[in-house]
Amino acid sequence: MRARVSKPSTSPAATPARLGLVIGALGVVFGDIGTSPLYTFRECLAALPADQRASGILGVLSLVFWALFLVVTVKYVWFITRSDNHGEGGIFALLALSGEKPGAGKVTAWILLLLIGAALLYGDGVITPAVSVLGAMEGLVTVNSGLHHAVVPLSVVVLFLLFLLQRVGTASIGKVFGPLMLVWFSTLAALGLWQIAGNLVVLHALNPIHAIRLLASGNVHIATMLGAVVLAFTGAEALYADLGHFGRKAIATGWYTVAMPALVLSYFGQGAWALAHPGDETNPFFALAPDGWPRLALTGLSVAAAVIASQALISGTFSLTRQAIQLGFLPRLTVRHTSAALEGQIYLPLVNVTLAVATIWVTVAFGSSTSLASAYGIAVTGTMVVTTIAYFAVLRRARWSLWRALPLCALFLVIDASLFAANLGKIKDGGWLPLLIGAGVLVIMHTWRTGKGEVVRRVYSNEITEDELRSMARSRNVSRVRGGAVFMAGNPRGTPLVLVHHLKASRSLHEHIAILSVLTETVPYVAEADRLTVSEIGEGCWRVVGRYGYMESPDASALLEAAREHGLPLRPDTATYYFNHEMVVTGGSSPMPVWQKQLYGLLSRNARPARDYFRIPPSQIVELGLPIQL
Amino acid sequence: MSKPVGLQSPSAKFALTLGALGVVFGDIGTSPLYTLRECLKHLPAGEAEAGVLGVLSLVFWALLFVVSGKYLSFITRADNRGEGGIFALLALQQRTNSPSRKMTVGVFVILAGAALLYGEGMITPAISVLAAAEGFRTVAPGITDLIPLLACGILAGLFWIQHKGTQTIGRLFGPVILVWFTTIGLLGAWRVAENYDVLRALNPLHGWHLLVAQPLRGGAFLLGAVVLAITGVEALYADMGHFGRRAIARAWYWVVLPGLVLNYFGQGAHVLAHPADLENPFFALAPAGPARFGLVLLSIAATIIASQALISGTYSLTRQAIQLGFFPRLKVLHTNATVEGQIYLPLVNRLLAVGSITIVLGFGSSEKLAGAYGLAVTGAMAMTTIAFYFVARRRWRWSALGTGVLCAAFLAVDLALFAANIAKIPHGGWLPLATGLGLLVLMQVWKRGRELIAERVYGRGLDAIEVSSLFEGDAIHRVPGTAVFMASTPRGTPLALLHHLKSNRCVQKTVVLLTIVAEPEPHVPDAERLTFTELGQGVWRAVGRYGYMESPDVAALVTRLRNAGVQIEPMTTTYYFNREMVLTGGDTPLWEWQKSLYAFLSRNARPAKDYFRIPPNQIIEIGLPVQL
Repeated sequence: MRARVSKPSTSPAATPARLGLVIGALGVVFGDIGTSPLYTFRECLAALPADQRASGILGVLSLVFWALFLVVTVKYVWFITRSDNHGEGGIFALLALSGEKPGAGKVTAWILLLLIGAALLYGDGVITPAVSVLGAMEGLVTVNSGLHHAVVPLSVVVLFLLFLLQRVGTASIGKVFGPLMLVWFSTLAALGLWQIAGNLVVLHALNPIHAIRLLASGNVHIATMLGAVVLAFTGAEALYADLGHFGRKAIATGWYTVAMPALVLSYFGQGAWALAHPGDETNPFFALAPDGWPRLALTGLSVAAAVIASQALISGTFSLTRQAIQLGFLPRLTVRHTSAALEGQIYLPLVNVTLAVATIWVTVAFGSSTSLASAYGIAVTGTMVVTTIAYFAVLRRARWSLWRALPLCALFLVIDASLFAANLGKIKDGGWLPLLIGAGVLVIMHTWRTGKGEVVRRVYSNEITEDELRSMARSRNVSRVRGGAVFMAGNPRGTPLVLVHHLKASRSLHEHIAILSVLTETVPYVAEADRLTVSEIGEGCWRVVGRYGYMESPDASALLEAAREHGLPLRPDTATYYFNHEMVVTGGSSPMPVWQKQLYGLLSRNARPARDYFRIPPSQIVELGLPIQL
Repeated sequence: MSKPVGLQSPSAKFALTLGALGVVFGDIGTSPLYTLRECLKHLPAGEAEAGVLGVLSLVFWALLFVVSGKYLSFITRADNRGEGGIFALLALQQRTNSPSRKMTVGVFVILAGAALLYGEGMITPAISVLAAAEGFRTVAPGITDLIPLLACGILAGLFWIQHKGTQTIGRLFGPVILVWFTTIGLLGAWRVAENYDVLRALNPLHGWHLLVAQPLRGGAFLLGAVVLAITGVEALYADMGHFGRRAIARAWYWVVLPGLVLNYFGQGAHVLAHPADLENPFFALAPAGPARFGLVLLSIAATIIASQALISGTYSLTRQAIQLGFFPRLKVLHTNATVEGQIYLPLVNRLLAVGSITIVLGFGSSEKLAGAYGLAVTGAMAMTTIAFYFVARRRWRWSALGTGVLCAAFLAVDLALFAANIAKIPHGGWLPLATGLGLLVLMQVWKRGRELIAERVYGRGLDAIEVSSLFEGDAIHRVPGTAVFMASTPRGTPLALLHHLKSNRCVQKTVVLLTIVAEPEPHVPDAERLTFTELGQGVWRAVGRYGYMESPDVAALVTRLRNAGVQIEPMTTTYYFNREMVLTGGDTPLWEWQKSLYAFLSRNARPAKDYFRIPPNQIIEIGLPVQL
């Protein structure tokens, strides 16, 4: 649930409000990272050779602890979350912060790098819900080993219901997410403490020397081990992506006071249990609870936590997609608002269906959290590398000196790159899947961006000026007919081609003409005062420009109503609305491969048409096809 | 591949028979590669001899009953102007039916059958090529791991070459398949000669005993394997238009049936003589060494030809579906100017290629694929029987009793085979079934959507509006120039014109309403190409006629109109097309997902204007909002 509970403010908030924010953040930001203990420690143990198990446990715990500290606490909580774009975080915020102007229509190497980071997030997005729900459901096996046939079907049912629920929205049940995650983290902490109390020796793992010794001993396969450790913080990117909803303070508070202590206690508790029970193959996470009803209850709680984590990821994917659409990296899709009161509650049917099919397929095809864990992590560590590089550029732009920015980012990059390299070994075990998904999304984003740029360059650069429009409208060859017409223009200068096309073909023009442009700015929200500009061109022609932030949804009919107060003489309810419909034909001279032109044509045909932003009766719409040869 | 004509010279007969061998019998002719091996897998260990005889008996009688009995004696008699295939049954049903285009049981049965054929179409090339490539395992065991990759390479090459057309190498197909049937027949005859005993299997009792002796489950698995011998049978009917029923029957009785039976019996004789050697009885027929290597290469050639036949068959099935309105328009390219059937559908080719290569990689061996194969084709066979019943009763007026008994017998066999194949669903049989279901939904939604739109939009009595009456009075401004409005029917007023008048309140001085009619003949004589009448107020109605082999040329038609005295300036003429802009959320009795699917298909169907050769800058496409 990604509710905009309130905008992060600099004024000191009242304590209850701040507490509410922190609990809210628990339910959204820390779901993914909070459900990692379900499978992380088990996978780390599996990466140890059988004869090294006892001696290796301290090393594993030390690795997990210091990885959490360096990556989550230092990199994300201390540093990255300090860079926000008007309060918003996430990879597209870094793009804006690094000084890139969207809408230029070219894919530079820099944009491509950030697009890779964003595309990889989709790759892991398919796996996260599957691995968390499967990992939680596998608790059933520790209760009764006969139930192992039920794990996959039950997980599929849970995921199916979760995706089905999206169209209704989760605003109503979302309120319990935060408190439930608080219960989850408290349970983790309590169970961990109980085991640690019986075996205080695990606390030695706080010493990083154990981690170094483990890696240097030559007894473990380093890549496999790091590949398992990565599972502990696959959810770290969410800390930054969700910045806008809760603000840095709430996220940092949630991490320091609740999530981090609980996670460390749980991992150390699992370590203590494993030390005490060498050779026991039970899942160490569920082994923390006594057999019988407590373990069943823990399984139930785990499933609830996994559902909350998956929900956070699904909403995160919706929001990432909407940002990409607004910034012109993806074609327009249908976006529905599921809650009138909460702005962030959006639902993208196509993304939901695709995610549902892919996630459920992954659940069935992989069948266990262990086999999924071997496909998981490669994409997110790739994104982390990209984040670090982009962060360096942001720091430099914020006038950090090279000697401060470079060592910091180099440290992060060494960690990120070594984790990424360690994960490359997973490609053959299923890691190809998130990479393939990421590559697919990247190809679509790249194609859409370059194709759009080519279309603008070829077609819209030929637009005529306002002077030419005035003289054409005055011309004796053009008859003026009664009524009003609205023409949509992507470019807020010049005359849209759809108008020229119409004029040339029918040799007539309506009495009142409005040329309407809707622009998306790189800021999340646009102030009401800057929303609308209305100007008169002459000869009955007017120009209306509306501005929106990338977190907002344009409403063009409201714009036209508002423009009437600025003197526009046209009645929106009786006017004819002219839209152009780009008909992309391949075979032109633009420097794109033919397959990419065809893909652009496909995307362009299926993008949600601009007319959908208006609530106008279909009979008032005229759509003119505009042939464009790419 | 010329059309069959009444009296034929012996050499023409021979050529036609040879051509039929290359196209019609590829699929059924490559079944021996894996059929017997799969059948033997399902035999109980103890009774090898009785089991082998029983299996051979089942295969023999299945071939005789289904191919000779059902298809050659009956189904192929139902031809639509010489054309066969499941859609021909539809046309035969409907011509006597009332011309309503509603979804009836008969239509649904045929759509289901066609959809299942697509499901099977992805597997056939995969299983045949893979099985042939597996022959390398018996020659060079070292390369076993590379076999799926080799099969993928062959398939990728085959699908890639489609855009060039295959008529040049196509001439080799018939002779190669003749060599194939001769080879497998001789290899089989050699083994049969060593062991006459195997001929006892011609007695159907052996098959019957095996089925009855087996517990129900084992019997089902066995029948599921026997089906593999006849999976290619629908091709006999689908390709009838190219060769005619007689050439197909000749090829079957003189070449295919003897070759197949000798080969199956030879494999049986070999297994009886070497009960332990069940690994790959087909390739074991050839002596190890260069001879076997040659057989592997010949098998690969034969399976490529079989796959080619299936790919061409899928194109032609799709084109028929498009023409009958069950499928959105797709790009259809003619790869050969002289031969009508040589078409290429890029999208279908791409989907088939991705599908069958994924299947090869996903399943990995012909043995696993055999576990998924057969369900869809037996379903399609059952649908054919049901549709045949309707045709026989309604069109031929056969007696209820005779038709009923005949079709019940066919259906009993079809359903027994289908039921036996249901056990394959968890082993991969769900894949062709799901593909078929998806296509059935697609075709059904497209058909229903078109009907509803025709009712709602075009059925509102527009036909009755007199065009010239719209221009009386001075509500409509007349501007200089010519407008050509494309109309789907030569009656009433095109919607694009109405929409244009309503929103623009003006129209050009000369207005031409042009309808292009596709005639069911290849070429239209030049004299009949264009007819036109004046409707008054500067409005003309024109009809252009084209055969299905010709591409409409609208610009040429307009020039002819001007030469005939209509006041037109071709350079400043604007051509108006309407494009349906499908909006969901209306009150039609479709589910929301069906509406979205229809809208998606409609957006992506190939626009009509692509066919008409008009300069793109003179086209105005008017989006016509249609709410479903």
